[in-house]
Amino acid sequence: MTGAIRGRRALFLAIALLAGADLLQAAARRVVIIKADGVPGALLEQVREERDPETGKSRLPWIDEVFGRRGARIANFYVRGISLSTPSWSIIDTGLHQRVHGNVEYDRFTLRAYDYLNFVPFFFGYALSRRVDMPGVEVLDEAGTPLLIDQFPAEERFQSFQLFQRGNRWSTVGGALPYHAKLRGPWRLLEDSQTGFEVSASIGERTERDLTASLHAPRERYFDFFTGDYDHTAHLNNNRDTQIRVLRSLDRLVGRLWTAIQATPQGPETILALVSDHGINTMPGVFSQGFSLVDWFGSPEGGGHHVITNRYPLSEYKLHGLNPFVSAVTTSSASSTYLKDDASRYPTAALDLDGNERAAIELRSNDLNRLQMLLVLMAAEPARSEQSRALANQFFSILDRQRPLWSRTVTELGEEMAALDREIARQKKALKRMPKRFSSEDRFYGRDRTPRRLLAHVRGWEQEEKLYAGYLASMKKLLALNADGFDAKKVNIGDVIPQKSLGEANSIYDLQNYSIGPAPERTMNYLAALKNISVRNVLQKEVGPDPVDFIVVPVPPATPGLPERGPLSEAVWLYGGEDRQALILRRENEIRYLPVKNLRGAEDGSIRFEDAPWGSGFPLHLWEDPQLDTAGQPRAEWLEEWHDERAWLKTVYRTEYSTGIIGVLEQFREPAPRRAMWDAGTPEADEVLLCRLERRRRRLVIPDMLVFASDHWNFNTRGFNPGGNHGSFFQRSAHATFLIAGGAETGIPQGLVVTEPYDTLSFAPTILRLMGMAPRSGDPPMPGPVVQELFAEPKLTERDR
Amino acid sequence: MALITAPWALGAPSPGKCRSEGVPVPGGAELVTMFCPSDGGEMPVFSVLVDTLGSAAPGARRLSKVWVFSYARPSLLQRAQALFPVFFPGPLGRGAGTDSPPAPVADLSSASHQTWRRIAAIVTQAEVLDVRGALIRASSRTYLGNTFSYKQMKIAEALSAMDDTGVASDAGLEGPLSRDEWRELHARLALSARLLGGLVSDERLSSAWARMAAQEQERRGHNWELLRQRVEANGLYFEPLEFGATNPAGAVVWLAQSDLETPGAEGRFFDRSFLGFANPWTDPGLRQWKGYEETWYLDPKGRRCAPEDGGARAVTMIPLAVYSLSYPRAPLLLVDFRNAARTHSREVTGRVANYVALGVFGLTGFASWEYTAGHAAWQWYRQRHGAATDQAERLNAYAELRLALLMGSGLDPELRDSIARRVNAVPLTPFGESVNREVAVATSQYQALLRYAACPADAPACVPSLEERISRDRGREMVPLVHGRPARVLFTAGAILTAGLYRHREPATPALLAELTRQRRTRYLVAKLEKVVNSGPEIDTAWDSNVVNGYLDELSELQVAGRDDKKVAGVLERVFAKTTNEETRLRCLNCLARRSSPESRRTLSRLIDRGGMSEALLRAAEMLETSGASVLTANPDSEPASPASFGSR
Repeated sequence: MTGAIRGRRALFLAIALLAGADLLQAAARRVVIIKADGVPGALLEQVREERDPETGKSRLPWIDEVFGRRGARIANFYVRGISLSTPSWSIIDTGLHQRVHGNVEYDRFTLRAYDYLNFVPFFFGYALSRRVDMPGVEVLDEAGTPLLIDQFPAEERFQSFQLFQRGNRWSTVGGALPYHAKLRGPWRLLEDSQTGFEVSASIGERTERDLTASLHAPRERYFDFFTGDYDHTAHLNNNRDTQIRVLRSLDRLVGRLWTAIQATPQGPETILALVSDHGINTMPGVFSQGFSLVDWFGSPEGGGHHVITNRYPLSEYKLHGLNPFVSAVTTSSASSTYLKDDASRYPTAALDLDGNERAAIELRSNDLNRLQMLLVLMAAEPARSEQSRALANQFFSILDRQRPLWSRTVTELGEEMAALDREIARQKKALKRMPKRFSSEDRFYGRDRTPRRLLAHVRGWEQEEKLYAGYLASMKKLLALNADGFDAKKVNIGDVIPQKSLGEANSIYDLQNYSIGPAPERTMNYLAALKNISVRNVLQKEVGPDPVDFIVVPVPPATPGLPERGPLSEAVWLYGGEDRQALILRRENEIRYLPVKNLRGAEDGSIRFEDAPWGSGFPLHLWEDPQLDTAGQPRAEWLEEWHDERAWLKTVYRTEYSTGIIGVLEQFREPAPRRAMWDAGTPEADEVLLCRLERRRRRLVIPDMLVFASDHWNFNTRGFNPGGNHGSFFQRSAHATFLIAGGAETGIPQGLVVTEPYDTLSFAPTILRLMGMAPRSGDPPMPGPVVQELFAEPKLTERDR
Repeated sequence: MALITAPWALGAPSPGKCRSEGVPVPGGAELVTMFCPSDGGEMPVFSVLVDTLGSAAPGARRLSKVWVFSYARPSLLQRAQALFPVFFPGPLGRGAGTDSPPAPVADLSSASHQTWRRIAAIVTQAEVLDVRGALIRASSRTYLGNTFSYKQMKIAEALSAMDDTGVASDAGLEGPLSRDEWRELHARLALSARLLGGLVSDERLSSAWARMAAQEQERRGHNWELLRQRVEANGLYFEPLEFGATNPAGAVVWLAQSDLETPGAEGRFFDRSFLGFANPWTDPGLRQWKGYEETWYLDPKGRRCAPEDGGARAVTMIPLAVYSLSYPRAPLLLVDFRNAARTHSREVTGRVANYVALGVFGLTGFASWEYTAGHAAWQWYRQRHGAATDQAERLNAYAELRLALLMGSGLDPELRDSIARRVNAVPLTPFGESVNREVAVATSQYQALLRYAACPADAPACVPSLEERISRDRGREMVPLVHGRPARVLFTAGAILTAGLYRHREPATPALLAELTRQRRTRYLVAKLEKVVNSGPEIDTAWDSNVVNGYLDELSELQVAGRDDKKVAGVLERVFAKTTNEETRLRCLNCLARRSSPESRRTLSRLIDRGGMSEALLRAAEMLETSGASVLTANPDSEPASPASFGSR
């Protein structure tokens, strides 16, 4: 062994010992996390600082006492991706890059809806033993992404009802109403009948009671309590007093939990954290205005699409809106030029409008549209006519251009389906070997859920197989067509054009030249059309006439025409008008914002654009933002350079669009899939195919475009959210909450205000570090930096920097 | 035609705010009146009597009778009309003013009493009148419904005026009433529309108010947005009417006449759902419109702008409809400028259907459960489809608009008259006055009330005088101070058996009045301490100890033991348990000792037995227990029981 090697080993050992000492130094044994959906960090801080003239104390006295005096406040805690509940909680709950990108996602090939918010089907599925976890958890499990809660054995954790919920707690659900009635008593219930029942609070009341009781259990170490009350209220009501009332109720919850924790023997070694997934763009006296993209896409101006959404839009709210099981609804368009009355077979747009300050839009493959239009036209022409031959030539020129890509997809997907089929057989065998009977203790700790969970996944795969099989069958028939002896009249369109499918993703060229009608072919530029939407009723001085702020389109890093294409790992194009565009590029950990104009896509997938000089009005408005902090460096100089994420975060977090530059890349990030949570002796070859399938699944839900709403605009269509909305990168939407306090032995500093900016990726690793834990063996490392200021002697690792 | 040159950017018309003013009333009371601006002057909207017992202490006050000045006694002809479901709206045979004060619409000091009276009326209707044949059943039910609706409509006007000032909100400025009193008044009046609303306890009123306020804000926001989107989608113009409140409570929908002249206008898309009026694009009447119109300036993109803006063009605007944004679920069409029958028939149809079903055929309640269930299902179905099925809420919406019209609300006078004319024509109640005459009626009745309030107690012209009424109310309130539960049960039975003709009252002696003052203050302080103990698991974090100690000191000074003793001892025990502040704890013990009632003594002993006190506190507690309150009273500075001296050690 050389001296150099010995030296390196000694250094490594020393680092390991230091790291170990760092872990040992933290003595927190338990953690209680209050997950408060949508609570804005700035508002919470503002109200905490206000004095209540009646009590002589802070208007949020418990938050002030627990986190202000006895704990720490991370003052600049921001959403990592878009300010939307499902993706944001997925980051907080895993400590990993987001795999879920919206509140609902649609598989382009099958239009299968991943409906993450709808808990009703989950509860019914759970009752019928067909499901075990909320849909978000199922997706993360498929990708081998563990939750923070998975770091604790089942018997050590108490989980409340939430988006990423493992299993269910029937005793809490069943006991909620009786407990609600018991808490109030008959006279109070009679009063409630006059002032309004508060049944919706019953689940929270019972959960709190169960959690408080569990705090006395010596084994349990992880507890969480989810509340969506603030988010719900702020969506509907912009009144500050009303919103503060909800915050005060949250404050009392903090007080009750803190007191309950201190009353247990483990109080000194227990952490209490309050975290929110995003803020909300709400302003007293300003109504958030909605613009219906469903109506717009269905209109002639929007291309006459049959549109899929996850809920019934307002026009159908009357009775259909009562159906809680719905996840995909088609709104047909009377303006469709070639698919009239065919909405059920051929929807052509899928929208995720939730969160409301942004919309994820998937349009059917432009080439599928054109092929279908040509088939319709050819069917109406006399066989062998000149016109028919011209149309056939056009048809095959499109098909032949796409044939290599589509054939490869068909082949690969076929292989993946075969692997999935084999995996289903293996898992079914494994299921047979699993125990069928469980003791009451096993059931209490949810150990009986393991086989049920696997069964639920197997059923999901079987369903998925059927859906993909349908798509593959159509695509094979389409690809089997060739020009020799082609007779359009013999082609059944329903066989060769996949039904209920959007096909492959659209390129920038497709979006700029999207076919909406045949004879003569009519195309539209969706980027320009969306950006130019405008209304005539401009009623509030804070709300402009243009609902769309800018549009984001993912650009494959290998796209010809992209600058510095070699090392790029991600690229997105932001469209704010023909002369107000930007490319945001990432190479490893470095990001660059490149102002451009007149970007055009070509049919071969390449792009070309002109460089634009820096100026105001570009997406994210960095140049003109007075809060952009380039640490004294001239902004032109600073903005021309590549910077790492941390540098960008520090520079932009106070700007109007906060951490948008990081968030927009996070939104299109493709984390490498890992093997699923269970192992049934899958051969290496199948594992590779299954990983590829998982990557495909996640790729197939990536939207063609993300449309961001202008300030105080939203895209909600199933109801109205005049109070406020989120989903964008606006400061008010992206500034979240992270407060933490602990008993004497946790080592959490008292009265600390952390002013360094952090994002949601830091939450889980910080909690683990405070508890002296590291991710389980085999789990992926958490990429976010821990909040170093919380540790008595900060030791920045290279990664944290 | 009115030339409206104000650019949109100036926002919706911003009318003046209502204000409140208090005047003293003989006998130790205050009359607090809400005035709203109207036609350059002011209109009294409502008054509430505050019985202060002549004391300035906040806890001694009690809200009592409420008068809404546009609530006038109906004429005989109006009463006759009220027997039928169809009537002619507007005044019948009665002058604009009246020399006598109006009847109170509510008495907040006996809210539960009104609930029982209403229940008695319903029972009487069901058991006595309903069985007397279709004629009596139908007419009596209709009359009862009409009188109730009329009163509720007037109460809604009062609520609307309160909303306008925002007095009950967190940011509301305190005037002659405290914020809590405004909330109590608001909540009590709103709850009076509900059958058992009077049974809601005083402690719940603040939270009930907050809940109702939030609901109202959400409704307005929801409807504002729904209507704006429908108007935009149909190529029309939306103008919110703020009615002086923070959130707009109404809106006018306009059509640009020039849009009618564009090619293909007749084939233009129109979706009437949620709008409720007929397609304007195919209406030939709009092309020869003779009604009210305004001139706006629009920019080249059709947006409202200032005349001096580049590309601005003058456009004639035609009002199509006025909506309420306060109605649940969807905006309520209040005025259709082209078709008055639309709102007219909505009011009449429902009432006639009820008259026939309930009155003529006797399909009432559980006796005809099939009809009741079917009717409820049908109403639910219609409601889901946007129908305005809730008559009480419709009346509230019209009441709000009427007040807004009286206040002017920044509307062009011609437009205001045009709306008022149409609102007057809607048959809401047979007792109503036209909008324009309401100011005169209200002013006249307010003057009458002031005269009545100033009337000496022995004046034969006003028997009983207001002073006498206040005294009577106090007499009833003092009954529990003198009599035990068995006697009170007998008094109540007497009142029921004589249909309210006999109600026992205690004569007001100075001693009893002083006792009543102490009791009211005690209740006030107990309510404050209840709020303290309900604020969290312990009180030291959420409350400044000086504030809590102040309440306890006041309570200690009152030294009154009586009906509320159990409640007082209970709250003191809970304050004691939820604080670690020694001074606060000692004050709790002191209060208990000074009350010298069995319940207080028991509680004091229990606290001592429970332990957990510091040695000093325990010594003080034991001394208080053995020596009683007299020691403290006689020598407040003596060691160790004086809170002040204890705290300083």
